[in-house]
Amino acid sequence: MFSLAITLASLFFLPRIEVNPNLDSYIPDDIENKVYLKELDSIFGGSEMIIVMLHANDVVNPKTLERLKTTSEQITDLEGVKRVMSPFDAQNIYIDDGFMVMEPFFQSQPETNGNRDTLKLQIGENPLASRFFSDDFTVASFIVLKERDYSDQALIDTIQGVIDANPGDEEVLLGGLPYVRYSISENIRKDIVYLLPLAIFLMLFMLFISFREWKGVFIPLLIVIMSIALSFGLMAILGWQISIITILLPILLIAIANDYGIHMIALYQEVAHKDPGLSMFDICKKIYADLKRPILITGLTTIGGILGLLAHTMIPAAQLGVLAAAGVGFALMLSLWFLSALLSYFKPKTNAFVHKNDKPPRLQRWLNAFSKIVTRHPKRVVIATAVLAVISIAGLMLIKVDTNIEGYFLGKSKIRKSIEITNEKFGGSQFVSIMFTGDVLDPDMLNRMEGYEEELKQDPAIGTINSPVTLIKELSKGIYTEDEAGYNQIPESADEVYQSLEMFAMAGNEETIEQFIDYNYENSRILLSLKDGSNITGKRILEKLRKMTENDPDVRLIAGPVFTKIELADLVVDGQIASLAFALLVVFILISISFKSVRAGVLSGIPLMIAIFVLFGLMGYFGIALDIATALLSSIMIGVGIDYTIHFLSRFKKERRLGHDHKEAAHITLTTTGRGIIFNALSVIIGFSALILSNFAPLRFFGALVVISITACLLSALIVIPSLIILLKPKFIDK
Amino acid sequence: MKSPLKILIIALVFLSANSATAQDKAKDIFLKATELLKTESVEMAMAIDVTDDKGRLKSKELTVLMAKFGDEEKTKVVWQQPERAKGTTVVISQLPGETGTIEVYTPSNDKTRKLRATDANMNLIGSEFNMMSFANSNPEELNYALLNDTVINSISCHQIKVSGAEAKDQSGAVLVIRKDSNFIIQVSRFDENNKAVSLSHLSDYKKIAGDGSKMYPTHITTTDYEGNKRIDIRIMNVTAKKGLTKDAFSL
Repeated sequence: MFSLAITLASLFFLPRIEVNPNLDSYIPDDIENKVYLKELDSIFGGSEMIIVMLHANDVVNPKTLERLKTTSEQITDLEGVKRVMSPFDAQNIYIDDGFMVMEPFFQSQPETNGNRDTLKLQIGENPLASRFFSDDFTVASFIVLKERDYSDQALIDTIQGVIDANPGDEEVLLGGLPYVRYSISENIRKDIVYLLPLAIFLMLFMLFISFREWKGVFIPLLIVIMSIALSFGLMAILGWQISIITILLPILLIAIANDYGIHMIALYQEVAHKDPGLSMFDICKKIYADLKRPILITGLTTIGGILGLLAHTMIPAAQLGVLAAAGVGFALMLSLWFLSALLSYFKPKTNAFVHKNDKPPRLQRWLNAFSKIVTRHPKRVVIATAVLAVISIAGLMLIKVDTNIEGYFLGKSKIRKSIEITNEKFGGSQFVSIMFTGDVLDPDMLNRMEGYEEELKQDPAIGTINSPVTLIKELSKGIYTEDEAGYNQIPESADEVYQSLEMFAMAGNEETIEQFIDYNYENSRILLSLKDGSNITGKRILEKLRKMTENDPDVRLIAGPVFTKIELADLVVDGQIASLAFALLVVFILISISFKSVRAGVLSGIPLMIAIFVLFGLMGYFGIALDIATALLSSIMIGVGIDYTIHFLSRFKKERRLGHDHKEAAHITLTTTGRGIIFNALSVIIGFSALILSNFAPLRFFGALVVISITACLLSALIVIPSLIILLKPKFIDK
Repeated sequence: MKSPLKILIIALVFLSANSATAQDKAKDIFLKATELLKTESVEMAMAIDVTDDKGRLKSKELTVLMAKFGDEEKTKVVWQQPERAKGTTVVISQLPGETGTIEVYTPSNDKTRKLRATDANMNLIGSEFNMMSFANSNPEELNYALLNDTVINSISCHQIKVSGAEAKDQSGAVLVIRKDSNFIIQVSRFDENNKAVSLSHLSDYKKIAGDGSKMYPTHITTTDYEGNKRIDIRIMNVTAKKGLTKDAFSL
């Protein structure tokens, strides 16, 4: 009743939970680049940009341009929009008949093919207009600056509404950080809606195939559901939000929370088969007595391993650790007491171990085969494992770290396409700022900035470069005629720069200036984009920029969201190492205490180390990056994978106490407890395999890698551990 | 910069408005208020502080000379501060029904450039279409509506709404005018969707030197909702200028 009350109370809090797609929240606020970005945002604003792109064979035609204009004008009026920057705001600045002309670049729509070609040439020559078009004129765009605190969801839905209300032949794509967050949020919701039922279905299927009786299916399912409810209830109470990382929580609990119940059901079936005369009450008493200790130890080691996630600096990873540990702890209690009590109300099934033709099930035959390998060739097993470990360690050296969010989205999704088009046609959406502080109108500084621009243009990884220099040189075209020395040049004095900008600002262009020079002309910046957001490119460009500007006293900072991801990658690696060490230490201590032997702790660590080597080795060989999701693998794997060794050692010890020699004890353990261990591992593998259908690439890899790592733990526990015990005959096993 | 001068124009609207016989009460109130401000030519010195939404301050000092020569209106703005802009001069010449010209002189390069006074580049003097349409309109061509009286700081005031006669939308301005003195003390501007664009408070009315019958607000504060700015204009002196010639507006 107490368990049910807790579950119901948890369900009460569930509606409070919110989705948080903001990747910045993964990173502590005091990270240098994050501090710099905040400063940049406070000075220049406008980091919240949504790019609306019209994609067609040729966008320079009246219909497309009219659609672009109408859509951008209607979006300007939407709530949550700070302002819209479109090609229709671009100014044409020139001198005509003695008059300086500052007129909108687009005066009329091109009606003929000849006009279109002329217009394309004019666009190419006007940097204020050309930045909205791809070089091949297959994409035209405009930029929506979003109010910082306005909801991404609400604004993008209304923008989508405006786009739908202005139909056309062009494909419309959205890009920019708010749209990335929106897409992450949508994908999180989709994952929860589809993956959770799928994982539950897979678990039910696995349980039924394993036990062939309904109480072996629904009692573990009930425990899983109750532990999920508790974890999410706790999440709501603590005010935490669902992120891309915490999507793992329900899947993790589906995979893990039934493990203890599975061992209880497996033993009940074993006992009922061996002694058909026993009542269900007596069977329950026996399985409780036999499994209380190993289940308690495995539960604690799993919790300990998962709590290794607390060592991650990534906040959602630590939250996942706490919530999953709470869920597993609840499942542990439910399995020991609630399950035993509930099971005692049912009638025992005595024939679960045999098929209708009285032949042992295939699983039993496999376990017998394992037993033969282990008992006959323990040395070969150990040598083969050592070779595998060495090969895996070589692969481990090849592992790379990548936290690029562009890689989160899969093949044919709209966000993926918009990212690709932005990278290919607009020089990328990963912006980096070099901020200068001082007399930013001083021609010396402007000339230095122009020099940096020229140097950066040579780098193939850099897409677009914008700075006040472009604007100031453009303004000079309205002051000097083409044959005068000052035409398209940086002015010779700061006063002239100031006066040009003041005139331009008064003409209603203050916001155009403020993209590059702040309101009261104290700070300015070069804004460049990277064609790909990979950590390797980001790191290289950061080093290049630092080196290029190291002797420039006016460079105040270099920052960009891409560098936050580099810092995130460092956190991922640090968190990976720390959580791995923490989890191994916890497991070592718990096993050493429970078996009253340090050697037991060391021995139990061997299968884990082998699984770790295999896991990271394969990641290295197959080029799977360590990212925000795969970095969580090792803690979870240690927490879960150690269970198999503990169950094996507990039973082995018991068989030794009954007087069997090491080989006999290994055989009995493998063919009895081995069954529960395999069901347990299968349940974890099948539960996590639902992630292979996730909308996020890192979660797909996570799902696939869990399958590999748990299989490695399973095989290590069933083959390597018995072989080592047979060879080493450790004393702790006979105590 | 657009916004402080916008406020200036709000005030100037009434200077340039011709008197006319009141046809209804609102129009009568409007005309009485503008009559108080109206003068043929004037010179003023002002300090403008503009604070943006991040609290950053930009200050400048200007002298402004305005006069009418027949139907032609001329305005000359000369920058006195900051030092880097000192001497920058803008002269606007406007004839009713004709495209005006804007001349800009920048001392740093000793260049004078002319611009045609289109709707777009009239922003140079901080105006925009709606307000210029008031400035250039005959009061007979404006629409007036009398709103409910209001009380501000225990002072009883009229409220009237003024918009262009051809305005099919709701854009315009609501003026709050003191009943006791006919001083305009508040101007709220609205766009075509009746969304508030700005709110200005006009205070510290003083007599215009050289024309004791005329009064002028020497302190105007505006909250610009569109640009998220707060503009504080202090008019340091206003002098009626008689006998000005066009030479005073040459560069």
